[in-house]
Amino acid sequence: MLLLHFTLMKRYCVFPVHWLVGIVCLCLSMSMVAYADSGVRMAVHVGNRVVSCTVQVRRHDRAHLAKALREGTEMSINWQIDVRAVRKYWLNRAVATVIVKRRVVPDLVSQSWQLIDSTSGISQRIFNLKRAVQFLTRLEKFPVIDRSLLKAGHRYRMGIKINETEADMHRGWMATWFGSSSLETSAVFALP
Amino acid sequence: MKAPGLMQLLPVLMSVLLLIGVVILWPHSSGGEADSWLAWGNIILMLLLAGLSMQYGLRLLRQRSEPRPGSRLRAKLVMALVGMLMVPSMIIQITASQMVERSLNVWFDVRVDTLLDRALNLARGFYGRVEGELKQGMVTYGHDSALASAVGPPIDYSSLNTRLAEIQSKEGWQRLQLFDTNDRLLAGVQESGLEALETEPLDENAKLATALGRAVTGLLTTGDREMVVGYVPLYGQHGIVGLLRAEITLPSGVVQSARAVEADYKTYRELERNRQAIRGLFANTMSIVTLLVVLVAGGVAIVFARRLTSPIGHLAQALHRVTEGDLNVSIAETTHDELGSLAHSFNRMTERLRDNVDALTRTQQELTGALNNSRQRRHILETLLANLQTGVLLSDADGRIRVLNASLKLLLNLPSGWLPGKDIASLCSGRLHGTGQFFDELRNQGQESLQRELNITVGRKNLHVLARGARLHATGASGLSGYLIVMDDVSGLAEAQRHKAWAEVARRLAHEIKNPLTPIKLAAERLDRRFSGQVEHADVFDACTHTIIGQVARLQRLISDFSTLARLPRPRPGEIDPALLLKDMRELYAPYQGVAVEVSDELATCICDADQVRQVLINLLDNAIAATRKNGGEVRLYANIRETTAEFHVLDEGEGIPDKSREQIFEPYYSTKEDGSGLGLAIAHRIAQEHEGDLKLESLRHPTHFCLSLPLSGHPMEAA
Repeated sequence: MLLLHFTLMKRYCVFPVHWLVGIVCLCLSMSMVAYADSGVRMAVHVGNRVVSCTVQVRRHDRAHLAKALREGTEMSINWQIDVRAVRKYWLNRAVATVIVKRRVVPDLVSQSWQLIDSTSGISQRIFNLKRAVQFLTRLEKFPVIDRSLLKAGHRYRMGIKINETEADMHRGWMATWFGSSSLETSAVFALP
Repeated sequence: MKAPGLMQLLPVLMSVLLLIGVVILWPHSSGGEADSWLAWGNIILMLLLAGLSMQYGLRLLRQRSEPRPGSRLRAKLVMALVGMLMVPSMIIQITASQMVERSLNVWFDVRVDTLLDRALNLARGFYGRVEGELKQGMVTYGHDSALASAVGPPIDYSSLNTRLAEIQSKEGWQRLQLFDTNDRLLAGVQESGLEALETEPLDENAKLATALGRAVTGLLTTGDREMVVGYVPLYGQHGIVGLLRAEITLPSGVVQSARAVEADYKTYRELERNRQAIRGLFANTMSIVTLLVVLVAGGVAIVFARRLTSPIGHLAQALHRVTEGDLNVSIAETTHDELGSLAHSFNRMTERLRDNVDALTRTQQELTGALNNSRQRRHILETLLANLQTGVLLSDADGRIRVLNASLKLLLNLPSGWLPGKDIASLCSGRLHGTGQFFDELRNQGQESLQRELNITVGRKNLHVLARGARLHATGASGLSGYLIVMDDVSGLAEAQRHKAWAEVARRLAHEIKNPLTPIKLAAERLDRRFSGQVEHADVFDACTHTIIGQVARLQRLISDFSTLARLPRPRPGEIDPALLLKDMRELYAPYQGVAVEVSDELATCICDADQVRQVLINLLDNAIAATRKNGGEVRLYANIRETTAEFHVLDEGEGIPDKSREQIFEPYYSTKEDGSGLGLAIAHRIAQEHEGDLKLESLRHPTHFCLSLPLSGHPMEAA
């Protein structure tokens, strides 16, 4: 596409805006290449009644989270799981969306971490950092959708988007600049 | 093609540098969101600048052979302005980056790090110590028998309260409560009194303590207060009979300090963790600002340079057109500054140039017309001089030949040395001495013109030349420009005048002599008839009378010839066949032996008066017969038809004509015969001339050959 654009630009275009268009296209292409390494491992489990997934954030992000939690930074993670029916000639059709919000509030003085599941309202104070990190970075066979909502033989794409935020930083200007990152991945499955 | 200059390569180099910068500064995925956006913004701006620079540079390179007017100046201005802005911006950015780096190093100094760690450890130690003491005390009272016995059954509330008060008093805890196994409050004591005694739900630590069967402590925060809460199961004889809850309220000052230390520690660690990101954010922000400034400055520079160089470009273009010769050019005077003044001056200049060129064109046209007229006049003059029968010589004031026409050369038979630029005096020698004298007299005399008659020998002829000279003056000035000499051959005119004079004499003589001759002749004949037999000496008498009669007859013939010459009538031409004339001559001279007339069969007609031509032929034949009378030579008459003439040839083998008589043979009264009148050939020659023909003596002797030429019909002879 870029090659075609620059070829046409060379032949017909003299206005500098075409350079701008070309550069934007180049940057978008580079961005896509940059995000190709999603950093998330995902597995879809098709059970008898529900379709669940297991998601694990990569080791580098877990280390980053552990460091932040150890240093007293409150971390929160939003998991947005989408299930879409794959269509060949049109955009995929949305079937279901599940959002999971989890938060860990460290207490440096007592060296404990408060695990908070904002979706269910359940919280728990723990004194083990590894568990706190796992709480944030792993979904183990998390039920996503009832199997009755899906059709057998059809292909579905389950996509997950993880938005990681340093929660304490919401109070400051730096939070929006430094304390957030996004990960996403997807997997295709079909009911037997 | 010229090699590209540094100014033309500078945009390309800048583009290459920017592309290298793009490669170096390509964003990594590990940065924060804002940093990532700024980094991508940087990349986009750098690529945009690189693209624009490359496009601008390529355009300059394409235009290096024939740049548009003002483009080089514009490029220099743009480069200068961008460079002036870019260099300080880069210096500021580098300096600021260094400052930020040093500031970060100061902020995240290892001493601050250690201090914060120690402060946090201090807080942790205080909290830990309080919690440890509480846990230790709770462990002690988990097996308190007094409490266990008071729990019952039956429950002895009084004992419970007493014992709890004793423990509280002893340990200094702010609150102490006892719950049964069903989490119901059995008894409790606190420092603040009963009004503050509230039943609070047991938290997860209570369940944990019950489940684990050991003391569990935790931190509880309510409002501004922080408390250390501990749970321990109360064991009786048969196991757990209750749950003891103790609470220590931490000093608010200590809590505030500890939490402040924690907050500072967290903030410090967050900043430290994002140190690279902050540096990157700052660098990217500075870079993006620099790039935006360069971009805006470049745009402003281009607009400014375009506004500045556009009039210069128009001026250069207009000058180029003026150089090409197009003077109908003007440029807009849009501004009132020096450029506007320059444009105004340029327009005035082109206007004046246009006027001058118009004036020059008009003058050139006039000069061209004058030159053409002059050339035409010169051509006419040269043609006139070339075709003029009169000889013309034009000399300058120094006596050097300027113009010499062909007629003069032919007239005087001038040698080849007579050429323009030659000195006339040095050329006039020998037979042309008279000409030189005439020229000297013309130069030295005081009058404007001079006329002389000169006798000049040309070949074997003596020409009588009328020479007229005049002094020429320069036009519009009093100076002398040269001399004009005109020469005419007036030999013919002199001859005609002489002939006319002789004719007049002849006519008068004939008139005066003819009248008395007849009575003399009659008287002599009468004397002879009446007194021939009466005189003594009759023979003498007869001889004298016969002599008188013979001489009178001779005088009558002579006078008749005179009359003929004087009164020769104008010819009455008609178309005559030469063969007829020859036949007439053959019949006329048939009695003479030795006369052969050859009549040809050629068909032609000539324009002539037959009687006069017949007279000419008779004169010629008579002379030929007279010349052959002594030696009996043959006489021939024949005719030839030429292209334009009919020629009658008369040849005889007689005595011939002396050489000295060649030039005078056709002059009147010149005769080689003793009894000749000298008018026969003169009359014949004159008749030939009257017929626009010619009579020539082809050879003097053996044979003596005369040729009469007459024009054929339709071909009049050119004037000789």
